[in-house]
Amino acid sequence: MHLLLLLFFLFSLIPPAQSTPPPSAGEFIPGELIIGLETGHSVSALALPSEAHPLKETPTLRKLNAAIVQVPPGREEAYLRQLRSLPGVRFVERNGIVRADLIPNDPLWSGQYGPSHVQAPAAWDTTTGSPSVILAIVDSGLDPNHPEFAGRILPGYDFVENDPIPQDECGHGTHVAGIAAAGGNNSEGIAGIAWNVKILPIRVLGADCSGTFVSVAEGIIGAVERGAKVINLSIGSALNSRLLQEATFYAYTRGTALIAAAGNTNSSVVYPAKYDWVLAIGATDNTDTRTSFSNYGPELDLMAPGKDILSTFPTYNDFLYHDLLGKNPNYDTLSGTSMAAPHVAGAAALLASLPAFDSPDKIYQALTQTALDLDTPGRDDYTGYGLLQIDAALHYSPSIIPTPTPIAPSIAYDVLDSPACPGLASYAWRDTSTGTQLIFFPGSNNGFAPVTLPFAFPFGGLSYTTIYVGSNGIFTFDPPSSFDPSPSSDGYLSLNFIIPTNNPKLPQHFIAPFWDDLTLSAGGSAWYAVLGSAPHREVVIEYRNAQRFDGGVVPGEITFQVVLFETSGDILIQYKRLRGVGGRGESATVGVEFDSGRSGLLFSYNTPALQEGMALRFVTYFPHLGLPPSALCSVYTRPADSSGGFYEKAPFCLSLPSGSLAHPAYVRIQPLSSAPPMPPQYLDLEHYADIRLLYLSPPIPISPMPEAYVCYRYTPTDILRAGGHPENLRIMAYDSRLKRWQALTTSVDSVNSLLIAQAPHFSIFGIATFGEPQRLPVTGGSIGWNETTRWAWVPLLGLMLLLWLVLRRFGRFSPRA
Amino acid sequence: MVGAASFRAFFASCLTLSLIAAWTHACAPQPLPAPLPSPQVARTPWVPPLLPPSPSSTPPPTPPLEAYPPDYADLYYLARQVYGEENLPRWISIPALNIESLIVPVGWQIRRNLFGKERLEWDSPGPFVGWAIQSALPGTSARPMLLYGHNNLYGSIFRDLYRLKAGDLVLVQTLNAIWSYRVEQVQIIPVAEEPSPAAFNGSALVIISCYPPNDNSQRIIVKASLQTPR
Repeated sequence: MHLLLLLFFLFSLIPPAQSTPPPSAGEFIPGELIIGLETGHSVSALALPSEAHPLKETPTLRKLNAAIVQVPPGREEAYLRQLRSLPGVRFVERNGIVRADLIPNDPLWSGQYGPSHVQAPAAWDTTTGSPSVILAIVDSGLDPNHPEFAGRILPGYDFVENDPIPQDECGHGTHVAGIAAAGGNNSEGIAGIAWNVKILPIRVLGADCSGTFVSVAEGIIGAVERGAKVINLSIGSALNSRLLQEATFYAYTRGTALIAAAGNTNSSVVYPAKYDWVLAIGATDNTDTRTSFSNYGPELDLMAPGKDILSTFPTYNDFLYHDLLGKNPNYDTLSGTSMAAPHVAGAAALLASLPAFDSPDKIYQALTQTALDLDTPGRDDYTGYGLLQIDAALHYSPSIIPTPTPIAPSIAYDVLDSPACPGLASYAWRDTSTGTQLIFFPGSNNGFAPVTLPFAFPFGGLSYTTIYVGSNGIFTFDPPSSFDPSPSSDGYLSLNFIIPTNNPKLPQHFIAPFWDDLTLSAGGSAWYAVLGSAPHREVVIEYRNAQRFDGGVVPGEITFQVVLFETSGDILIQYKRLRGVGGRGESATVGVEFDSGRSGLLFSYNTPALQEGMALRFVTYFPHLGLPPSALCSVYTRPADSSGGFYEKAPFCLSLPSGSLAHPAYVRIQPLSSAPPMPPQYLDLEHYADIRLLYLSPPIPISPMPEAYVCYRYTPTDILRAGGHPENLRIMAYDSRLKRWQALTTSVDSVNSLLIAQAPHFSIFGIATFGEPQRLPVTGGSIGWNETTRWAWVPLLGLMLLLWLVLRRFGRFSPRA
Repeated sequence: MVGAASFRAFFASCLTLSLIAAWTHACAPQPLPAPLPSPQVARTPWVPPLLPPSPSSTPPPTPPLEAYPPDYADLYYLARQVYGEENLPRWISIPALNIESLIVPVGWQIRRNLFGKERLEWDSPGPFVGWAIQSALPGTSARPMLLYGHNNLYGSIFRDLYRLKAGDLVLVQTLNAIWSYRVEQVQIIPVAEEPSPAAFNGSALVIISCYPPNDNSQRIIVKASLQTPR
């Protein structure tokens, strides 16, 4: 046994770097690690090993909650593992090197065949680009004095040197920018694809034409912040990077189209082109044939000219590619998928100039669906959908292609409720009189009504065109056939569960506005209407006069609407009538679930949390990018993690000891004005708060109740109502499952005027005391007449007298004997 | 020898215990309230309630504040914060019985008796007259002001309360006013038949004590009405 332990110990001493050989030099920046952090953590607060130092914490990186840590060069792998084990760390990776995807060749004037091969001249009859569209060239910078860009360059940024001057010391960026956006019809040099769009130069590659994951990620974020609609990424790395993945997804979800070079190594597509939400562009030559260097694979989307492409060079001499320049100043040819991508980026900028193409998905769809098929018929791994055809794309009428699968934990829902966030969620009843009535199969007591949405509704990172409205107040995006619809197993979902359900027999992508055993067969109905015009249409699904079913129809009326917003994917639930027993959600689940049942946001479960005239708005946000929107509401929301803390929304507070939380979450304290009635023996002081933890990504199974202390700051009035003594006050917890209040063992911190009690669960908390005694004050001091003691001491005295007599009678123990 | 001595000791301690057991029931002196947190006056701004003008032109003899019994000071500060000092009852005079006493605010607390049974019990006013802090302030007749005091062992301020007759005057003094009440009824009833405090609605002042002093098997309840200012 000891030997085993010793062996284990010896093996654990072997540096990890030896087991996995370090990647070859040049692929990474030596001694630099990218560290991604959980929300609420900062690199300065981490317990870093002594030889690791935070190197860089820029505002841009902070958007992705990431930072750079300097470690001894050569020992990066060992530190990777060490840093990954720190609490609050999401990921740690090496800072890889990204290169311009360029095939250098002999400068040779072969004319500008590119634009004509991609239908650019015809496209220019439709548009040459709108000045309101911003095309970001995230590259080696740009020569601001080149006449081809006169008047169209926006103030960019240099993420290599961290200054606002993105000068091009490589030459690659200026060349790429010229292909995409050199002025046309200007009696000057060449014609780009999008002549009139604004150009945003973002410098992420240095004078050696290479950059790092960090600078590229910063550049992408910086471009989005500066309003870019299209980003050209003529860069690539064979290595994946979580930072790059999150940065590109961040851009994509903010409506920016990303066009990237597929790579020039005749191998698999490089990153970032490889991501689903980035269009990967391969290169063709002047015969529209795939070039021998162009990368391939299932991620390849589109081809564009990339061999011997004539474009702009800086007008000065101090740049790396200067030696490639021929006798013609300011212009020359280069080859590579780097040159193919900007053809597509220019085309994307033209599309973005038209109102119909207002999302990256529509741009991607128009570009790929109108491409000229090359090689094998249909989409193939070597030429993707084919060669870019800009004019056809401009005349394409976009529908929606399935949205790429997001990075799993990137999306989270937050709920804003109108009582706490009147500015962000407001009740506005929609008129559905123009709508159609839904018909449920097999019936309106237990059944579903499929609704075809007029637009693809983004939900939980995917998008759906059908929603199945269930008769039990749950609307699923999964077809009922997928989750066991047999009535015997309660497939009609008349039983409600806590979210996330994590149960394969239940739907996994759904909205639960009032998931309870409801019926629409007792005079109720459900309606469906589409309001507004694209891209801001609303689908309204209305439950009108539904009843709860509990052994029989419960008299009452439950009327509510669910509004699905196009584009934003927001969900508004508003409650008009909540009449009858259980009408406030006492036996209902309210929330959303997505990510195959692994994630969700529960607003309430079997709690009377709903009220008439209340609106709930479910909105998406990005947990690693900051606080949820509800943090702005009167509801108190603060991030919490294993380090614990004190969270106060007066008069209530919550204390989490260090180490009590296993998963990062938000503490949410919402003052309430009403709550279920307390038992008669308590005097309800009518101070309530809904205190709960919202997990960022709900742990499965749900964590056991962490050690948490609810506290309450009492006032003189509270003490007075409690008979003058704070010890008479009790913190009460409402158990929504048992539907009753429980008095907690409450201690008093009189120095801070605090009542403190350990929370048995998260729920509604209240403050109670005992009313004045029902008996009159006792004002005398005579011996003994009250019910308890009246008779108790009499037999005791008698017993002792007997004992005394016995002892005297048998005097063995008497002193005289 | 040793055995007998220890038995005797056992017996003596049993007797003591049984006596303590008997004494520590509801009528026995209650421990004084634990000190409250030091008052933080600034926390709750207080709006003085509107009261009728003082019914008496005689300047009241103000009891010295520094002499306030420390055991009741915390509750007094608390009541002062909530109700305002000038509204608190401070001094009681019953001329017919020659009673002059400080009034101290009293509340109630959860107590356990020897048998572990929990019950709510009123605080003991000690040698003073207690004013139940949740009862009315002087000068109102909408609901009763509840005063109580001991009659024997732990103070005997109300030993002679049973001598009070209908028509006698009870004067309750605040910082700036004297309120006079006229006794309407003196009831003596068995403890078992006592009403709850809620039953006193309709009287302006209710004074409670025990009776008779050597036995306390009964209650004495004095009801008085507020004299309208002349």
